[in-house]
Amino acid sequence: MANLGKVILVLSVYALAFLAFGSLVTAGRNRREISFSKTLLAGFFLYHAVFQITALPFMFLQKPLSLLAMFWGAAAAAVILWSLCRFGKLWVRTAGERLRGLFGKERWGWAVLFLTGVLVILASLVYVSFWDATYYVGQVSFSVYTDTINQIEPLSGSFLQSFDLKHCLATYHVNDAVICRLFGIHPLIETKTVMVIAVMILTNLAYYRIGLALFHGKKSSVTLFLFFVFVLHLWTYSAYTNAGFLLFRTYEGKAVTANVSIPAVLCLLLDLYGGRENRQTWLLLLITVWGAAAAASSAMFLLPAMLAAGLLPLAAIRRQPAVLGKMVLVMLPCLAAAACYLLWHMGILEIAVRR
Amino acid sequence: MDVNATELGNAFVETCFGKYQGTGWFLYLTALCFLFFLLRKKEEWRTFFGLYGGFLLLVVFNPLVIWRIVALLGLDDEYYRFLWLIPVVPVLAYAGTKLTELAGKRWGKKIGGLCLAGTACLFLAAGTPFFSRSLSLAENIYKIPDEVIEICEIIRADCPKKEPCVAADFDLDVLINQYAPDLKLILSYRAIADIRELEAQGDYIDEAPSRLYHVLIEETPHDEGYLIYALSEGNVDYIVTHRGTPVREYILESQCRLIAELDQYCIFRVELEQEA
Repeated sequence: MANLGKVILVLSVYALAFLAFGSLVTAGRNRREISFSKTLLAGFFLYHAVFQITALPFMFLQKPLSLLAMFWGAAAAAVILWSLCRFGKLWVRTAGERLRGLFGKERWGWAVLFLTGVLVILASLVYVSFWDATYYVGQVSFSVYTDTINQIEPLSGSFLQSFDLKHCLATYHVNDAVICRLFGIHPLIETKTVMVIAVMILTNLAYYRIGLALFHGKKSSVTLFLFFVFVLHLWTYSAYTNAGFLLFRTYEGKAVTANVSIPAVLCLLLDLYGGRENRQTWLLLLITVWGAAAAASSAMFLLPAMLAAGLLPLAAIRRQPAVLGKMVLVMLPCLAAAACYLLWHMGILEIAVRR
Repeated sequence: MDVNATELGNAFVETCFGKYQGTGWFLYLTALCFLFFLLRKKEEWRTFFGLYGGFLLLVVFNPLVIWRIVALLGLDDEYYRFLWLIPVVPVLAYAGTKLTELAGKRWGKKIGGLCLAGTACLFLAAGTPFFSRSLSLAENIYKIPDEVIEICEIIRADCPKKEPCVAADFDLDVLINQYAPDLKLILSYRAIADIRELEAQGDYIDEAPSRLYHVLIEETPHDEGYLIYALSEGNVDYIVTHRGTPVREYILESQCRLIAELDQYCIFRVELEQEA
């Protein structure tokens, strides 16, 4: 029961943190209303982007995990408190309206909550063993146990000679280790229960936003769309499809790329094609891509390819070369990570682990 | 089957589609939907779907180009992730919704309902359900079997050392390192992979992990001193094996004492006699 209480506590803190970080981008000046789905998604990516630039210096300077945990805990708490003071009333007012809607004109919302709830329950109750948990969960376990950051090779349990730049630039699992330190929860609970629930909810939020974009906010269509998404997730299983990662390998950063980052970018591309473009759309695209690169190293090649597929044709049909400049800017976090990976892959860049 | 871009050449992309996309039916359905959107003049998203899909086909899934890039970047094992860029789920869900709504609008709600059920059934028939994989309910919040937790706790309680060295079989190793990083696994995932690779090449290194591998994982008994030497050289404190292992007696004869017998596993404490 104590563990269950901690799961609920950590999930609530994540929700508050994503809301706080996201509001910095989405609340706008008039502050009359806020979109929770947009804010939570933006908050998730901004949280991980900021965490990445905070964690990387600690990692490469080989500072203890506990020091990073203290620093990040204080920084995140400051952002949450500041946002709470600034946007708290807005959150409460909007939440009240949404709740009243659920019992009034917007009963379709129950269907959306039900579909998400079923997936959350399935993913959090099912036991399945994939060998790669040995690597990803093992990395969190070893970091917490040795109070180091990514210095242990989880498959052997020995200290690395140099940092594995293919994996360690994505700091998603470092965040897991930090949360374990801060809240005293076991790495298996953080990775296989807390983050599984969080990713499942975020995935449904991303598809919900795609539905809103495709059907211009028509709620009955969005509900039907989410029903089909639900069916497809349960019936497109292979160990390598996005559904396979969503339901069985949710603890991996790759699950975030396949199920949260790619749909979130797709949603923003739809906004651009649908003529709902403004400065916030580009800012959200930058934050999403940056946060995605922080969550998983897979994103460093996938998202530039996706952005090119969406934005090069857009620049061509609109005859707006400025789109190309924005595209390169948005791609930068991924390109920087890819450059580091390639230099490491070619043996040019190596950062030794001191012992 | 290994997917190697250099060896497969132009067939690389096709092989990846075949290997990684399950039945592949959903890709055909998605391609059909893309085509439908392109041909339907009223479709408001035809520009997006046409351009985005077209670019992916020409660049990311172009078999004539992509395998060279993949080979250059060493991304053979990662290329399957590019398949996630095909918006299978949103496109099919969008098509299903549109079809249901159009049928409902034109022929009434009943026909719309039939369309909804028909589309859902088509998806169910074409796909592989997630429960096709053998599933069970998690036994605890850690999502590893209760017995693995029990094994770790027994060893922790029994051993005065902070980091006891444990020799266990592969299935246990991959779970123990997630739950209990304080237990040092002499037959780690990496050690087992290295031994297998070396022996596949015909090499054999007579070290403690190799000997333990032969006894515990290949379950082959050897002469009396074989395991004792490995336990001594590797500073092994505990052995954990399946209950039904054929080397049980051999382990007991090698100066090990059975300290716990669980449903599926046995735990042995290593009690090597001190040399004079």
